[in-house]
Amino acid sequence: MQGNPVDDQKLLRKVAARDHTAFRSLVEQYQSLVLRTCYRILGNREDAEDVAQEVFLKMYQKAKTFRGESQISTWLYRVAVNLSLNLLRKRKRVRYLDFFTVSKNQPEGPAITLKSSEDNRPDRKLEKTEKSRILKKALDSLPEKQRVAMILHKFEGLSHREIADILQTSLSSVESLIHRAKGNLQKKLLPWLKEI
Amino acid sequence: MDCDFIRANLTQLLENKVLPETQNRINAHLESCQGCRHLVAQYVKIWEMWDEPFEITPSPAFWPNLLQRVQASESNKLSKLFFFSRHPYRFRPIAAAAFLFLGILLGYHLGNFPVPEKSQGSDQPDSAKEQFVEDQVGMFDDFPEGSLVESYLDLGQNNG
Repeated sequence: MQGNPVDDQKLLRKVAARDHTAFRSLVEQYQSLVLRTCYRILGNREDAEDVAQEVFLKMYQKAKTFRGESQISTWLYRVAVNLSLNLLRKRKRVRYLDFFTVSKNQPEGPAITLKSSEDNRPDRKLEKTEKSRILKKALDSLPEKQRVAMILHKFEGLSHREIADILQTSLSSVESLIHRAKGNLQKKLLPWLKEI
Repeated sequence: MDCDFIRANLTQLLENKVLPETQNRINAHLESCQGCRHLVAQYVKIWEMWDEPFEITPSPAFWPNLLQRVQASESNKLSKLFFFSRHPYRFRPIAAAAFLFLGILLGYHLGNFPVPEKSQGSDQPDSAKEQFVEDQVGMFDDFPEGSLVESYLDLGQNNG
């Protein structure tokens, strides 16, 4: 996790006093982390930016009440995960209600835009895009908690302890979530791998 | 060692979570089975996607939009300083009580309630009441002689 906790606390105190400069420097420090997490969960840049703004707005509003028991990054991860999941649930409800009216033939954009440093050959790029699409599809089919735990663990590289803090659950339940997620991913991926 | 075992333990295999002796047996199987070799190679490629560098930069409008939302929330907060706009649901019982009180007040005036008591010991006749009784009794004076009503009244007087 990023940021110096002492400096962050100082900045947050200034934010609590409605200092917009301090707020901006905190936003700049954490915007990448928040945006990335939201994007990984939502899979859509526009929604990710909207939710990320909401996350920072919450930080601004709750700066006074932030007790500092956990790091700011942990708190931001938690809010980002919760707000992203809330949006997904809301979308699911709307999709369910509009099941017969909404066209489901919406174009599927690239799952994740990869910025690879090593190889930019078109065939390699295409292969990677295809692989990332398969991984995203498998990931999306996982239950909510397993998916979030896997995103935080594998994409964000967080430890089980950090994930437990973010999801406000026990270490053993995070371990169990990740173990089950890996098993489920393997089951989902195997049929697609056979097709390749 | 068979293909099913490989398929069931792909993730453990990639994360080096199998015992060394099992690993040796898996390697031996992979050397002889082209299908499993292909499967493992594909799975490795997919699993490597976790480590792909990924960066998403916010759009130029990110900060201005965020600042706008912050300012909007602050002005919203000022308007919420009023108690009832902050807790509109608390207004309902108070409004209901006020409505009830006004209704009672209105009812009191319209119904002239309580009725003013007749002063005790006053010799003033209640002229309206007496007039009413007089009129009612007077109705019986005009019955023609020999009519059924007059015979009935006579009978009543004789019995009385």
